[in-house]
Amino acid sequence: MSAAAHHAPTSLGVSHYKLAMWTFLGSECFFFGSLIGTYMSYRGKSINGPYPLDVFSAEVTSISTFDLLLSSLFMALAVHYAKLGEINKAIAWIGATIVGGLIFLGFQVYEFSHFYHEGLTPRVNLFGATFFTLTGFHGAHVTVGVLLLASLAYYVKAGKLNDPGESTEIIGLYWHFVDIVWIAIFTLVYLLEYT
Amino acid sequence: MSAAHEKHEEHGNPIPKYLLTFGFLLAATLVEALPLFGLVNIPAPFLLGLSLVKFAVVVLIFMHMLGDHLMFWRVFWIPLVMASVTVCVLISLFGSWTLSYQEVRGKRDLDEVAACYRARYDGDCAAWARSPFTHNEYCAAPRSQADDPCQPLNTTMTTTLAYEALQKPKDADPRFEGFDTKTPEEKKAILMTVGAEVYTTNCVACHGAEGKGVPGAFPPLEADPVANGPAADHISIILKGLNGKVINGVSYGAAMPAWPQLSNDQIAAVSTYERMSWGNKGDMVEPAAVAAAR
Ligand code: HEC
Repeated sequence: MSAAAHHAPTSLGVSHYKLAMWTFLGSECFFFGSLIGTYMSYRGKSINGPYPLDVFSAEVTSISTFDLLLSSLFMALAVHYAKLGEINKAIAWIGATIVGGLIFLGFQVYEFSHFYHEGLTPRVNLFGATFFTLTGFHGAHVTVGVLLLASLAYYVKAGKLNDPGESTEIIGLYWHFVDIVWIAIFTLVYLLEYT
Repeated sequence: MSAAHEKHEEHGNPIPKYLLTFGFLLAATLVEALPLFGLVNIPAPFLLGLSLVKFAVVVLIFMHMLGDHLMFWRVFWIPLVMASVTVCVLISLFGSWTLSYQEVRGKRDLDEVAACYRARYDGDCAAWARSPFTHNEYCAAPRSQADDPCQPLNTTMTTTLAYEALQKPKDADPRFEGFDTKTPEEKKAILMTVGAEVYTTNCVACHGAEGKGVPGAFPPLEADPVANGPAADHISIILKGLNGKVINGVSYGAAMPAWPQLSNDQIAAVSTYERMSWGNKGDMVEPAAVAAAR
């Protein structure tokens, strides 16, 4: 238990902050589970267009999926260097992760406005309503992640954290979770339309 | 910091492991992206399996779940499994495991279904009856038996044919070649044969195969005053349509569509057919009369 040695000892023997984040992510499973369940229940039931294949763009989706995966790699590297105490490298990789997140958000803004011009709005049909709710909430999570990372970078740089390694790891957990939610959305919402 | 340092050195340098993980995720995503570009067709169960593996790899390696405290497993995987079961139950109850939009579109054009539904909802039974989707689950089911404005039709087949007939350009029918030089018996035979076809394609949906119509919605043509009266009225109704006329004391909410897209030959044939079937006593209508009416 050398890892726990630099913590104030906790009654559970694990970091409370980290456990809190995992618990929160467990509750997020329910949150996204209900949105995905709703999307899947209404799938294929819109009685007027635009339908998914009328608006989806294979290029945009593939590139933004790749981008988010890449940002997960950057995040893992940031956690690695933060734990080693190599603060500057950690900040650099946090910055790279932020850039990855911003690129993803840029693609989402592009995608949403493109869909809007194609006539897909949240009120036009079931597909629009469920699609924008699901991917919109995911995008909101990415936005929160970017803000968390930016403040993390600031606090790490300013030396205001007791344990930058652990803080980076905890925010990293959130970031990876947002990535795995996208893995699910990418498959269920996008890929299934092409089977 | 030294303690954290120590811990990491125990595990060695994880960067190659991270790169390998990313390489795997990238490869899996590339495979998944193939169907997006129409390069190969990958069955849905395989795609779902692959994304499950990706999901697990990120959690186990990037999120360090592997080798971490068991407590984290419990607070994450238990809710995850419960949420996944909920999603599956929702799909089973309200969705479908097989339905895809492409499938739906292959079977029927949803915009047409929507138009059909709208017509039915607005009580526009003529437009509804012309739609090929009168038996579609969205369009055929009455909103409620009591206030359903349109009676169900006999077969989807006839309405589909009617719809197709509306779309098709008309070619001159070779059976009418040299029509004017034929004897009245020959003329009648041609008109009745072609008339039966035109009727089955265009009119049967509303007026019924036996000319009995649909009570309250579409008038019978059996013993109909127009079918037994002057041919000019009959032709003009077919050419221009009809709305709001009270026939034998019954007023019909629906309108009779106009059929200007039918050829003179076809209109002559169908009106002759109507005038000489089901005990009607009307006279024969020749294409020249239709040409004159136009
Ligand atoms: C969409 C349903 C529909 C179709 C299809 C249809 N009709 Fe009609 N038809 C009607 C309705 C409804 C009326 C009565 C309109 C009224 O009373 O205002 C009518 C009336 C008529 C009448 C006049 C009856 C009278 O006593 O005034 C004739 C003749 C007629 N239809 C012939 C045809 C022929 C020929 C076709 C095929 C080319 C045809 N109809 C197809 C709905 C239809």
